[in-house]
Amino acid sequence: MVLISIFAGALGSILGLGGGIIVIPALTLLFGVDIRYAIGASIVSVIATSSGAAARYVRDHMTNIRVAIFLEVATTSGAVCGAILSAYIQSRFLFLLFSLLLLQSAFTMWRRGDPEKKELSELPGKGHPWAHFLKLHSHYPDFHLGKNVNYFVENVPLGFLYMFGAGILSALLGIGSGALKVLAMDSAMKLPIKVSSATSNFMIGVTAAASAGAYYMKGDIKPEIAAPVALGVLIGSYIGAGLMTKMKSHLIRKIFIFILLIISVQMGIKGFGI
Amino acid sequence: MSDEKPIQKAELFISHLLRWGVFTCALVILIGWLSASNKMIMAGLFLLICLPIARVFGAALIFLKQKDYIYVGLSVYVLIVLITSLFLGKKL
Repeated sequence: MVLISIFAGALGSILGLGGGIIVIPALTLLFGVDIRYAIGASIVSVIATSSGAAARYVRDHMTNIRVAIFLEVATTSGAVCGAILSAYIQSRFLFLLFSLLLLQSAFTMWRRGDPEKKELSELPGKGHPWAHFLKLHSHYPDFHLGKNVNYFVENVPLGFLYMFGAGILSALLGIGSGALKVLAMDSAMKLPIKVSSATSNFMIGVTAAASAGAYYMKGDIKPEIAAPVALGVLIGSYIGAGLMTKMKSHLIRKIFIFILLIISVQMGIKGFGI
Repeated sequence: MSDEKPIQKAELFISHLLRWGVFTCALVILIGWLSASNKMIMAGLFLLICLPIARVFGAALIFLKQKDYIYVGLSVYVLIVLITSLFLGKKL
């Protein structure tokens, strides 16, 4: 269980996801854990991935804290709306919609190829006026390229809207929605994939903490399951955060597209109720 | 750029907060796990859940110190919504 958690933590921290896509199926299918406690452990794993990796990403200037805080306004507001809406909306239909959305995103991301290659030579860019006002533009050290990469933040309102939607979905479907966060920053706001991943990583902890309290009090978090998961994920996220800064952006993007397809299938299965 | 230095200070502060927080949680959970003390594990997990909230609070403080009032406002808003949702969750 610890080994799988280490893997989940490493993958989650590299891609900016919570690791629920690995933790939940592994616990239920391999260890026969009740889905209720698997979800509880997965919430813990999201927070562990986020906090474990963020300590390093923030220090390395990989995370854009301003972007994170600005967008957290959208995700937390969305989550509250989602919690209120949940009484009126059928989640089955939403799972299908989400599945299709991810499929489409994976396809566009794959077709777009390697934008960082072009963008590097096209700098300096323009940036969105809101991004100037909010001082969102920044730079990050790419250890693979061995230099500092400047970047500008585009389409701020669209990204904000995406994040609001991500917040609603995570409340309605009980998912961490790290994938949507990365997509919003990468595709809409045109942040480099490493910054999108690190910043998503930073944010998912907050999203998960908002709902973790409820799971904790309902007794869905079982200490004997959550303890090995939390420890494994913490170790994994530390390793992952060290690896990611040195990886090639294009490779991260490829793994991300692959994982998008897997989540899309998982959500599709839930939607069809198989 | 003039807004480079303060953000680096904020980053260092948040990074330290997370590092020590994670270290403490891991230690408490590990000791609880090894000694089969469920109470201790749950205490460690509780600390872990509190960590992101503490991080938002820390960000609010550091931006206040730097007189970056837009971001103080944003962090405080996030903090309020977080705490509200914790209470909403309690009711459900």
